Amino acid sequence: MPNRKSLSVPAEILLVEDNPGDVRLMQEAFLEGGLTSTLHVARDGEQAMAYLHQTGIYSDSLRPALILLDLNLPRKHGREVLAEIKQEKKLRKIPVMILSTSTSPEDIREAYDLHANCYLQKPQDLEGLVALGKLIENFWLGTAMLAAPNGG
Amino acid sequence: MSGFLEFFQHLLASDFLPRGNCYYWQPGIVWLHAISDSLIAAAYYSIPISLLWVVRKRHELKFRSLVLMFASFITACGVTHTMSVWNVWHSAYRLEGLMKAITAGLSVATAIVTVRLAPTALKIVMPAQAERSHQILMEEMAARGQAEEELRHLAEGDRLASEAKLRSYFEAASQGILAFDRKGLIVLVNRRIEEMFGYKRVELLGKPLEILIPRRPSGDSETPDFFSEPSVRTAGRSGMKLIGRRKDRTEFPVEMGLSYLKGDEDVVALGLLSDITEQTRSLAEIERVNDELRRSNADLEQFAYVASHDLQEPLRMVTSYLNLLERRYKDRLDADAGEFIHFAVDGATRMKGLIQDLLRFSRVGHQVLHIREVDGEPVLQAALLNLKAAIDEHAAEVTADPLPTIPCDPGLLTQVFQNLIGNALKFHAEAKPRVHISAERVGAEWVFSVKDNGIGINPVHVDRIFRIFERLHNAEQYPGTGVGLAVVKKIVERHGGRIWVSSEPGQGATFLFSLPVEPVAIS
Repeated sequence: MPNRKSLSVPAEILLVEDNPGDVRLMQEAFLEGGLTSTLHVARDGEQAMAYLHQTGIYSDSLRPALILLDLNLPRKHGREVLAEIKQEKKLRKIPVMILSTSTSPEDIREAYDLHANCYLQKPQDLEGLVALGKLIENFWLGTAMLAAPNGG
Repeated sequence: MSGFLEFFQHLLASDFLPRGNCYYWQPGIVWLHAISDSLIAAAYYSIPISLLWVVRKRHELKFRSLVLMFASFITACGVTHTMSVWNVWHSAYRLEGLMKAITAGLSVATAIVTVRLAPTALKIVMPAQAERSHQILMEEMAARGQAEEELRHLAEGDRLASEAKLRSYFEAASQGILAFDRKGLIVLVNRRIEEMFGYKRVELLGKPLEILIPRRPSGDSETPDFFSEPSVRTAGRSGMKLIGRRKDRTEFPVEMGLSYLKGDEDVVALGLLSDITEQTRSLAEIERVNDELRRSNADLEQFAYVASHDLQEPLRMVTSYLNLLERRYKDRLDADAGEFIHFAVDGATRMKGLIQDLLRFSRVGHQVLHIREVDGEPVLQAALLNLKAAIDEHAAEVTADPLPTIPCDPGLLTQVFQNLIGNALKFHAEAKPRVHISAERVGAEWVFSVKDNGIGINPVHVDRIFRIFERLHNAEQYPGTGVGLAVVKKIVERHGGRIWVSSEPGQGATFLFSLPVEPVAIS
């Protein structure tokens, strides 16, 4: 049933975010917004790549339908994570949403140059974040048709 | 035969009456004859002497024998006249007759020879003609000689004059000038060299150039290189600086231009030296200031990024968690707690506004300007469109004169209009807000004005209003962070223009800004 994949709610979502306050906030926003998708968290760029490659402690991780990627990450910057994802044939079909506080035109341009699927500014308050969570789920997991994973 | 002998025996006898008797010894006639004959005789004797002298000198002379005959004939004539004088008082008529006979013989012989030689003589160059040719030739030669002499004189004068001129230039030159030979020995220095290096001229001549310009540690020297291929150039290749050393061993940076002079024997190198201590110091200072500017620019860019990202993160946390607190625990909190949360959220929100304005201001100062010829009309329309809500809200009347085409970054000019018109609406008075935009060409600039009928500005504050975060009113009265005019000022100044305001309280305000007609971008 390949068509079912596009309307994939509830789905697995990978959140790559180093700030625990943001992680918790996102979880609370999902809760407040009544979102049904599962939020998996990687705390830096290396963990994110390990999760996606299912290596180490992430050997039994689930392939996410969507990646929410913060740019300002320790050890491996969000740009590098984005570049690696988009260079790998197996991973590049997964839509990557950049979630950043930065509105710098350079950051935005660079993200799209590296084939980010969209660039979103982190909302200033909880209401904005709840609304954004709903929007993402509705559009990317409800409306948009996503590609099936390779060989899957 | 006896008569013949008798003639010679009585040759000197005075058996006749002297001729003076014939003149009755009248002194007049006696002396007339005596003096005239004497003069004729003297003349006749002198001519052959001259002829003989010529013959002796001019060996190539033709008709030599004729000349000699001529000489003896004239001499003989001289003798007959001498005899005439003698016989005024004596009576050696026999001797006189003999002399006449000899003269007659010589005369006839000379006459015959002359007649015979006449046709040949015709063929040779007449002496007068020769003389004339000779004279012309001599004149020409003389003229040429004089011309040459004059030329030599002139050239010599020129040489002396230019040498004097050259020497005065040489000595008065503000650059040090020296010459050195193939061995690197100094052969010439000017006064400036003495001043620059503190040596007397005599201390330098014949000394190696190295006492003024020591070899660099690399052992690199100009001398051998230069003489292998003399040319006009600057010494110290590819930015390597030469160091001059004074007599007191202190060193200073010099620049040396090299040229060469072809002397009589060999080429000498001509060095023009400048003390570049000042330039070097100025350059170092400029470099230092540039470094500082670069660092400060880098700091600002870093600040801009920090402001756009790092500074906002914690604020977002504060706001969002306060939101969460309010949302989740609303029922369990009292009215005070709700108010406290409200103030906390409000403070965080304002802080975010300040940071964003600061960021905006900083970006205006750093972003690259995209300057092109832009029609002012659509730029104004874009600003008015962005302000539509505010214009509608205040039921304002915004009018404009035709605007010119000017070189500018259209996005930034839109922002200028937007901020100025926005301010005019914001600081409105009781009456219906009216804003009028116009432009006037003043010299090499367009001066734009945005005139309103609002509350106006006290002239004592006009300098403050363009500073960032400067506010004349509290936030309850007129919200805002006080960055709008600072941004406008920065944009105008980056375009090479100025901004000022003319206003009185209660009389409205007119903001004026100029933009140059020719594009300039100030970074």
